[in-house]
Amino acid sequence: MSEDRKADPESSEAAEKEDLKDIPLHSLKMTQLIELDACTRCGECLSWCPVYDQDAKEAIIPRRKVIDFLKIAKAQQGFLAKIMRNEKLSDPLKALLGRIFRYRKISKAEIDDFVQNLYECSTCGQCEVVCPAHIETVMLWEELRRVIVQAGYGPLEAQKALVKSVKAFDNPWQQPRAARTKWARRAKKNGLIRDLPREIRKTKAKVLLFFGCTAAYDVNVKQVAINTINILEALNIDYGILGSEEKCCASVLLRMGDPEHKRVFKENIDLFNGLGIETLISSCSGCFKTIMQDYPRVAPLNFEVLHTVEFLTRLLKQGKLTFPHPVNRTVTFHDPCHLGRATGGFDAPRMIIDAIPGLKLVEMQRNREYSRCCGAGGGLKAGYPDIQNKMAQMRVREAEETGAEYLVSCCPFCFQGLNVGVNAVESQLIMKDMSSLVAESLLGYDVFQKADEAAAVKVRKKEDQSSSPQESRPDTPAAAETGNHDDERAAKKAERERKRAERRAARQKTEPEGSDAGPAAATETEAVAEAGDGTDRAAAGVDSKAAKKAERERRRAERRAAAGKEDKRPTAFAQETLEEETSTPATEANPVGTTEASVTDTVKTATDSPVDKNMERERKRAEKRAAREKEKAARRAARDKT
Amino acid sequence: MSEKGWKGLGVAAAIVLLLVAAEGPLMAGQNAAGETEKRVCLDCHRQPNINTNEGVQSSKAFCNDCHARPDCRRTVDGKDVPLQVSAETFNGNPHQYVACIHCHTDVARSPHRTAIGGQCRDCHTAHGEGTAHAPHLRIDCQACHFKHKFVRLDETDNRVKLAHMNAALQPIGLVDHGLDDAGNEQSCRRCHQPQNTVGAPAAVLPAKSLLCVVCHPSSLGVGHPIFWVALITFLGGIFLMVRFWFVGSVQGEEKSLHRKISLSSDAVWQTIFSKKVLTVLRVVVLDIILQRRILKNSVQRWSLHSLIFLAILIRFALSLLTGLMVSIDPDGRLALVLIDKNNPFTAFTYDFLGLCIFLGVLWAVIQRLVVKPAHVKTEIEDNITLGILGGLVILGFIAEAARILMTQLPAEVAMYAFVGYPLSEVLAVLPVDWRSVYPYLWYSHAIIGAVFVAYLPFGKLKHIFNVPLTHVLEEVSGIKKEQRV
Repeated sequence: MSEDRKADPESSEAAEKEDLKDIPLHSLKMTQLIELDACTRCGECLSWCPVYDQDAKEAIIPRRKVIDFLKIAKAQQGFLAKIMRNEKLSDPLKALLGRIFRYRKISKAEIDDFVQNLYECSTCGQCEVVCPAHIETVMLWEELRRVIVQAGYGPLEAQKALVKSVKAFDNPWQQPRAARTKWARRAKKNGLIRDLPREIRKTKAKVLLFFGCTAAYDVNVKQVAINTINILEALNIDYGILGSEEKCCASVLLRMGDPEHKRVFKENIDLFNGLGIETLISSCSGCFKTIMQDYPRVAPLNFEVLHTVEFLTRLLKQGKLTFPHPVNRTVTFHDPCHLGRATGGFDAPRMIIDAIPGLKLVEMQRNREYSRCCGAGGGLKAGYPDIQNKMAQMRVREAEETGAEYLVSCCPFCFQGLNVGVNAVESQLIMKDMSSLVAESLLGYDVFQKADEAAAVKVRKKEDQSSSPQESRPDTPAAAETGNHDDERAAKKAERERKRAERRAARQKTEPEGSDAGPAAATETEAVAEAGDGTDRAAAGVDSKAAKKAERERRRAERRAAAGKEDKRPTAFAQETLEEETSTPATEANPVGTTEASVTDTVKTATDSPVDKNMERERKRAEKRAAREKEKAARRAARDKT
Repeated sequence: MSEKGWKGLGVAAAIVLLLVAAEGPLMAGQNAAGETEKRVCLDCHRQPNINTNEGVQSSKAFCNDCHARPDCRRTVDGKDVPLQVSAETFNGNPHQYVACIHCHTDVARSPHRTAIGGQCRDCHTAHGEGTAHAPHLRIDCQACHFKHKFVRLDETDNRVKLAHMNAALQPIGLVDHGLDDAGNEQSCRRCHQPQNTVGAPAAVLPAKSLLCVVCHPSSLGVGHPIFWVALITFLGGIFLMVRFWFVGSVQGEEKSLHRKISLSSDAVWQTIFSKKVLTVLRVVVLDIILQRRILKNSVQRWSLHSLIFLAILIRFALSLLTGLMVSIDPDGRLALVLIDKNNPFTAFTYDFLGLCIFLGVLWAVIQRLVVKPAHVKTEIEDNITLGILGGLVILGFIAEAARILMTQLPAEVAMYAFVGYPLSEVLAVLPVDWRSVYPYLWYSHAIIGAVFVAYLPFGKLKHIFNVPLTHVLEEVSGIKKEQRV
């Protein structure tokens, strides 16, 4: 900053005139001001920061953030600042003092720079682990963001949609509240779960399963929710879910620095405390960390909070959990920041991996408290998607070095984040959530694979009956779902129509590259493939990626010697991608990375292909309908909020 | 023999026996003529109680019978020595209310032979670093406290004594019981002058300040004005630092400073008087003293940091221990060992620790200027800090070497200062009058030391206060990461 000053004397003059809002230092804790003062600028954070590895700017590393914040804080509210702002003092004296002590007002540009740097951080907590001064950095960044937001300087534009969505829709994905339980109905329809999850209001169970928005809304991550339900059902746990009553845990608000997080925390705490539960479990490390660690700072909880993996580990230790079926795979485990570094849950996942027969764990070079962050958290993915992409790539390369087949984690956010990397480096690694391994070992099969095989059989039967290739297009499990609820039916219909048009378009485009693959392949890897971040797809190009994925899928399908060799659906993956992406109405920056750019890019790819004019019209109509639906949903949400 | 005769014989025998019994001690003490003498004198002159004013006066009156007379003289080694004690000179000195026999315990013997003279340290303690510098430990009390112009360095026992000696080579004063006021700077000038013969520096140097306690045993006073300036700057810096901390909220209180202070002091006391104090102790040992967090990340960085940090910490601990021992038992063996810079243990330890600091600073300079690892970013603060530390240590060693050279310490005494002594040999080669240079060296070292202390709350070294505090705060009130399964 000192260089800026020299370079641009006018900016300091402008700063003099600017009346900038003070950062409310008084609302930071005293301990945090002590911590800011305690930074020795040793640079240990630089050696470990996973963001710095991808964007080597001194300004983004913790030590510089501390220096810059102190500079702003002291220029606004330091001892000298108080003297300089005293109106009783004469101007010449002020000028003299200013010259002697080199006092200078802070400009808006400097604050904006600092804010940009402050948000270029996934709050992974690696710096906290290595900091020799023992500075609790994660909390510090969150609190600095809070005061920055309070002063009106943050968050970043790209992150505002997230915050708005949580406040308006109770989820960060800009989805209607009513759609929260949609995945379960769809999963039941597709045979992925036997029964709908039990509602805690009815069962009065002692264990509450908190899905979190990512597992509930994001089609790419639904396997986490489905597998968790299957595990709990298989073990006959007396659990219950909140269903449509569940709200975002508001970790997004906390980590973006929005002070309103306290309101949502309190609402959730009251809700949970009123249930009379003993344990709250979540398969999402982010929700788990927030509820376990951040909620009690607002109000006390009358129950214990565990990650599902920890809950299972406890059962394992009590001898209530045994894994009957082997899963013969070599895996490597990625410690989610929120389960590992933030809360110390390093052992539970490893104990589960150890306990599953056939599973072999190969550790990555950086593991446990040194686990390299995938970049999905802390608003980084929304604010700086390309940096997150590179971070995930780095982690995936590290995982590849272990020679493992599966990259396992136990957090939907990491699942998404790492899949970005898997797709970007076109890795052979398969991203898995811990729940899917546990479910496979408990049930003896992968529910998704089984459901796909069933679907494939269904498709073959349909094909046999039909002669027209267009009409014989098999209904994917997702598409097969019609939905029984009146309020959603219209929207779904419109969506389906639109998707159908796009799918045809995509197929026409990619068919020449195609090869034969089992239909099972397409749906089995749906989650894996689709978790691919839109951004990265946009960067790397849909077609070649899709083809390669399909190729990989084909090989895998051949290995499994799945039935339905006749079926030619080489681009099923691409179709699914389109289907799922367009079904997500999020158009603004989105933490999953399904950014506007990626969506339009994907759609554009589809429209570029020679499409029937009728189809084009149909698609446009469908889009309009979808937009209308979205408006309606927003209005409903606004009404709910008031 | 008649009955009377027997009776008379019995009485005589009893008298003889009584006499013999009475004479017994006399016979036994025959070789101690003084004892006999004392006994005889005390037959009439009872031993006065010299703990009372009356006793002191009567005792002094008895002595003054002879010693007030001008003709009270004696010839020692052919020299005529006046033994008169005039009321004017004696009543002016601090001992006017002390009986002569309080110190001259052997005068009751006759003839008046003083084998050892009055022993100052029977009543007085040796000066520590507080009153005078450690070199004064090798100076006899009389060298400064007698109105005697001449002192000399006795190389046989490496002590500075009065120049005149009796036949038994005991120093003697040539004036009548004159005790000099050693607080008067003129008396210091006997040694502290350019032509001194005992190796004292040319100038009178102030005592070490409380601020020097970081590395040296010191007095409790602030001392010289340079230390006052440093102390005020230091306290001002600490005030500004703490004031900044108190801008933040304490347990939800954002506005009232009074309440913030009250709440934070509450928290401190509640921690001290609870089990958490054990946690604090654990943190102090493992995280603050042993620096395990740095060790975990890098052995090299830990070594570098520890060379400087642990060495300063040990020196600080030694200084505190010295202060404590001197206040408990000023003439105790341990106190004297710790104060005495020339004591083998002390000389070696302080030199060793000083060398550690120097090596640490050197290593840090090499890291910053030559190796330049990616994580290291050198700012002006770093250079100032290393400059101060390096300058302090180097000047400290040179001053030590000059002191060894100047005070003419024999090699067998000086060699334990394994850095200072070889350096003194090097300095000896240079054509410099170290007695004149020494004060400048001392002041330079003291000024850099004062700058070091004054700079503590402003620069990089602020972390000396903040980081231990952060460690304790995090451990006591930070997020707990306990195993749940």
